[in-house]
Amino acid sequence: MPIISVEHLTHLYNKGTPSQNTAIEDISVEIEKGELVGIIGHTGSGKSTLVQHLNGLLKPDSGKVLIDGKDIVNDKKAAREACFKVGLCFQYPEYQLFEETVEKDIAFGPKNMKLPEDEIKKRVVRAAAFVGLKPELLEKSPFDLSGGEKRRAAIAGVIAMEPQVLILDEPTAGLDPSGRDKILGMIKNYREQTGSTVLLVSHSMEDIAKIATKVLVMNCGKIEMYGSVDEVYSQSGRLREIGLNVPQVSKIFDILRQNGLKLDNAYTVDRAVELITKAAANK
Amino acid sequence: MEKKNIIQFDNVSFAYEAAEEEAQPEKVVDGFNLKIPEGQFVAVLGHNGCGKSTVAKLINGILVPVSGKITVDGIDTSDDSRITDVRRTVGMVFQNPDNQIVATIVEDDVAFGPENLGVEPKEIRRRVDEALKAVGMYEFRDREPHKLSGGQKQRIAIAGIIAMQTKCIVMDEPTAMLDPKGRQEVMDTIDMLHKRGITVILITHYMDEAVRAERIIVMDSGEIVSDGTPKEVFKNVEKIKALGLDVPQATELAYRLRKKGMNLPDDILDEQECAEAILKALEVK
Repeated sequence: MPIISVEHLTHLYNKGTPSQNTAIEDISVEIEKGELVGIIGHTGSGKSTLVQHLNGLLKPDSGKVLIDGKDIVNDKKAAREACFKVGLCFQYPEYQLFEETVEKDIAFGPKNMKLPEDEIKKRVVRAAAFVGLKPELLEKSPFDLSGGEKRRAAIAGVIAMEPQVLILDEPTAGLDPSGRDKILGMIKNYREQTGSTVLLVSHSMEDIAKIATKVLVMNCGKIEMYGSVDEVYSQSGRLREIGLNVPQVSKIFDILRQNGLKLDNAYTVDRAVELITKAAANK
Repeated sequence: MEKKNIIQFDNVSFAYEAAEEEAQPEKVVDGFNLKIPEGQFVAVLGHNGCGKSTVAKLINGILVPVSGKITVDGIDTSDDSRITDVRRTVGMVFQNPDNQIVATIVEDDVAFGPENLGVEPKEIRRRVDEALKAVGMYEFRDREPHKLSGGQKQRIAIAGIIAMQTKCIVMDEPTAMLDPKGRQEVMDTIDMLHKRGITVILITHYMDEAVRAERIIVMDSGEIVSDGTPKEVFKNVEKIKALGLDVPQATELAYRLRKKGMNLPDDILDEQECAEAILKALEVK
């Protein structure tokens, strides 16, 4: 059974007003447990609208969302459970830090779950370790942290709820390359160690190629593609048509192939090095 | 004849005031020197906290140095009486498009800058139209800015600066919050500014944006640690990586293949160069 099942989902903004618009239309998709799904699409393609349905934050105008087989649109109890089962971390989550200390901020979610004190404590420590925040930072005010630390503290707040599905909306936006790599590494570890399903909304085709197991491409409120990195990235022509771009490495490989070099696809530098070295050895 | 420097830092030091009274203020830049000739397109790279935003704010007098001297088109930024002239010379665009829109209609927003400079209304009208056309937003002139995309909002912010006719524009990560299409729009606009002869200083974390500049400055702990053309700067892959930065994928691929013994040049930046060099090395071509 898929952990997330979306059936014929449609959502309208400003319904019944002259500015009504369809954010997503008749979307159906099934996501299996343990996948790390990269979600891409240009601004306004419906990515954020889609993910906000997965923990019941938005209600669809029609269609169904099943989490772990339970209908979270019509079943109130399932809807409440979904708030904790599916952890959603918004864009620029550091703007939502509000508590006096980092520790209290991370504990906010677990507290709402009405967990016992000692369990909350354990989870805060675990979550902070996951995102690589030093223990001494827990006592500090979140506002005294650096930009990258704030981002990680905010993500820790979601992770502390230990959701089965972790959704991150552009977690690396605005970070420098090393901050970005830290967050990506952390997401990858989190999935590997907990077996959770992770949905990662990103504008970076390079980042998604590095860590995703599946890629979901949104365009104009619909799902344009859903498949493995290879299945999606090999369609560079179509991706370009809908305002997306493939990593520079794949463009290099396109040129190499056009010139008669027989090579498999590569979307990361690691893979490209491997394939070209092999091709050179076979010369 | 050599072009004159529109921006010049001479032995500049700057420190933010310490949060606690007893603490020594830590210097963000110390003895900093920089010359930027008029019309140059410069990209500034560096990890968060390296001092690049501080330098940007020093350029248009939002911050003034603790010691040393900064001149902008010959004007000392520490001279309070001339701060308006500094702002007339250097415009700034920031990261978050939502924080820099002031009016409820696009053309009013673009007119805000020149209005404050006391430009004649007729001339404002002409400048606003021209600026909006330059960034490709003329047809949106009577729209509400908050309904536009991030890329469009940034182009409005840039139009506001074009309408002020500043000689220099400093952009602090203008594309960080944009999607690929929005980034492309803003980068095309930056190329256009450069072609018009405006000095552009672009702070960015995206290496593909930096390679479009004429010159790249890499900063670390308040110092310039690398300064040259994109080819010169990205040649030092190890140094760049050690600073917590990236190189373009084409550069990294060539670098790693070279380490495996392939015969490739060390100044590759774009995909075409990279592919051709690989084909040559493999004797396909």
